[in-house]
Amino acid sequence: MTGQADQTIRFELPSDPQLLSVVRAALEKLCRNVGFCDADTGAIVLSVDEAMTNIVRHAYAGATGEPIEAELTRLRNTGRGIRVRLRDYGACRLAEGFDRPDESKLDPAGDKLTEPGGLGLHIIRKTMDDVQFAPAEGDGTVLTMTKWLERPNQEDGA
Amino acid sequence: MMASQDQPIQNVSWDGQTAIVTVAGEIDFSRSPDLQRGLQEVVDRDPQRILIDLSEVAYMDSSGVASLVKLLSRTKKKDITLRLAGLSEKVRSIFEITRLDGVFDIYDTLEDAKAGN
Repeated sequence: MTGQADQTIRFELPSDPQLLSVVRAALEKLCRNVGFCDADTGAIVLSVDEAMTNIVRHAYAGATGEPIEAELTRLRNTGRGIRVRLRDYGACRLAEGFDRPDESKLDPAGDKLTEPGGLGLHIIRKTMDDVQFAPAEGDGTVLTMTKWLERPNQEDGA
Repeated sequence: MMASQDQPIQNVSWDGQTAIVTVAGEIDFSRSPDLQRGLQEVVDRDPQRILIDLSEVAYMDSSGVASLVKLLSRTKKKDITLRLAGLSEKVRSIFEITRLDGVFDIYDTLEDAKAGN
């Protein structure tokens, strides 16, 4: 059912990998609430986890006390779906090509899969319907990812 | 070898030259380094086969998959047979998304992996 106000849950968490499971758990429940099947829910949770891990590894170079803001929005106004916005205050990753996945790094034969911008970004691009990187005001990067269960009508806009 | 519950590798048992590695819990960025270290220790003992039981793994991200890809690379160099078993639907899906399901020998159960069925 559409035509209702969107609903957003906001987290502010430190860039500690051990805390990412908290966001994963909340996102999983939200995805099920929206109505995504098990397979889609798993893929969405995985994508957001990969994005947060990239922030820890690359925006903050592994530092565990830096801020990550996560907004999980249940879309139900002009369509049904989920939108996740992640904001960091680290090095702007657009300059490092993080918005452009390099398929050559997906070579399963060796260690290339662990390189930045490789497997995680491939998973995100493959799973989510829309992925937008933007420089944040001040320092950092904003990543917005959307997955639709029921796309909005064209005339409604997204 | 039994491990603490915090460790991703819960047990390594030996059946002749076959190492059976039981992995459990959520294999994410915070636990993958321990997984990788533990798997390397198994490889260093030069088994003929390594069977990885993933039936107790509730979640795996790309860092966990990357650990297994590194293991695959090392086992190939040493001519060790590597088999994965007991993947849940959720864990199997990451192998499918990353197109790695055709790269590994994946079996439904540990018993199937032992038998090579």
